[in-house]
Amino acid sequence: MNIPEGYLYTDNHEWVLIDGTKAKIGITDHAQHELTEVVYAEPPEVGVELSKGDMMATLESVKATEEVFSPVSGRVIAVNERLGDNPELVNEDPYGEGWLAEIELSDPEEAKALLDSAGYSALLG
Amino acid sequence: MTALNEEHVRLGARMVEFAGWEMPIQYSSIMKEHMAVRGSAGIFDVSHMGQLFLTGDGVETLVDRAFTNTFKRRKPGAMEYTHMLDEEGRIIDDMIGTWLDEETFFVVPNAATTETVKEWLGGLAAGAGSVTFQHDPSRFCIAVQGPSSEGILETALDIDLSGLKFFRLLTAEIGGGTCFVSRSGYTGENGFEVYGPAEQATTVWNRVLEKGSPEGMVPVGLGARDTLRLEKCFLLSGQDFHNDRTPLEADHEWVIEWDHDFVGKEALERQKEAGGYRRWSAVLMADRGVPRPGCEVVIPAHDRSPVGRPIGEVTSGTVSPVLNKGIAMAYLDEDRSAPGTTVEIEIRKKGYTSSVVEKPFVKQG
Repeated sequence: MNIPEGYLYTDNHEWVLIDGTKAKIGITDHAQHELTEVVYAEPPEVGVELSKGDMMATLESVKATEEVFSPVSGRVIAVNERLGDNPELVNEDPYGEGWLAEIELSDPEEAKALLDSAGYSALLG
Repeated sequence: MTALNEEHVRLGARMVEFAGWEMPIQYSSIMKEHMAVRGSAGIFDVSHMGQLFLTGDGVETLVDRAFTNTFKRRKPGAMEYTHMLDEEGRIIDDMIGTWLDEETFFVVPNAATTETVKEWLGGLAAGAGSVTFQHDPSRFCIAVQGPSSEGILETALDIDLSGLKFFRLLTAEIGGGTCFVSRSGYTGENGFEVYGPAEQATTVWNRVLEKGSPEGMVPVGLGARDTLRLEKCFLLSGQDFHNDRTPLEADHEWVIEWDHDFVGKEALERQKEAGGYRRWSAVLMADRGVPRPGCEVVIPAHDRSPVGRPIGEVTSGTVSPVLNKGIAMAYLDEDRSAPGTTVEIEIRKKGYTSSVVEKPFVKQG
């Protein structure tokens, strides 16, 4: 299972990539594997204010619907428009082309509660 | 588990519990498996389906009474798809049956309903004369489906299939056991089903897969089996009906032979006369989206009628791998079930523009 360094993780299998006051968010390799092929992705709308734990996106495979909760608080400043026609990017490149949304952090301190790659790796066991 | 469980594990399948059976849901990817069947071929383990053998002097009467369709005893190997109804005309199960010879009737109910079907037939048999049931759950059924399936199966099993017509079954000795091969399936493609005793299961599976792999054949799990049947609008027992819908509601009047007496006939005649019932219809979404069972179908926003009024309910849905759009089967109000009607499917409280279309979603070739 791929758990790259430099990303932060949640115990709900999301990743966060912090760049200053911005954070890109997606789901982990483990999460995409468990979900199986994503056939539909519904990202949030740009401009929406999210609190940590709010429902942020919905991913659907043939068999299951998975809700993705925002691991941090802030305003959505970008979403991955490519997922509309190519939801399989979530499976093919979960940490890159398969990102879900970018958020302008309202409370950068929240990132301290997230796991690093070693911590997430230990969680997966 | 089926006789092929070890093969599935060896092939890296993701296994799930289904109707008490441990079955492969997918091996590589549902999309890839789906497209392999449409483009070349796929092999499926469907040994969870029931295989009942009925013998005795009461079988002909029983079969005539129990099923909406009729079966020609003097035309062995001619298969018919049929529904089995209760007295109210509601579908207990759908299945394929055939006379193997003039003595033995062979019927294949769904996995979850096999015991129910056995009990129901047993009850009806009491008034029909002597009927003996044989049911060996260890028997296998392997489906080989797709445009390349015929050549692969002929080579793998050293068998000539050119004379086998659609929905016909033949008996063949394979690997030292007596098997049946039929031209039938649940994918809408040219394809075959091979039935036999557990001892022959791995021989058939491995021979076919070995010959088929160079031609692009892949093993296919229950996930793609479902998306394949949905593109062709085939009913799924337990999902599109569970003893709550009639064949008329399911838009399957073609499985009813009206000129014989079967259980549920009077109820169907009354329903047909009265009309005004919902019809199982094909609904195509304008875009991608995943309609799930239970989603409401409603009157669309541009319509003059009360917007949002429920007019139907989805029983099966998925994203069609071929069309790349959401597809759903739904029971719709009679006056909203005609192809061309615009409707909305509600997914997570949001309406998605969709239209009722002619069945099936994906046509041949």
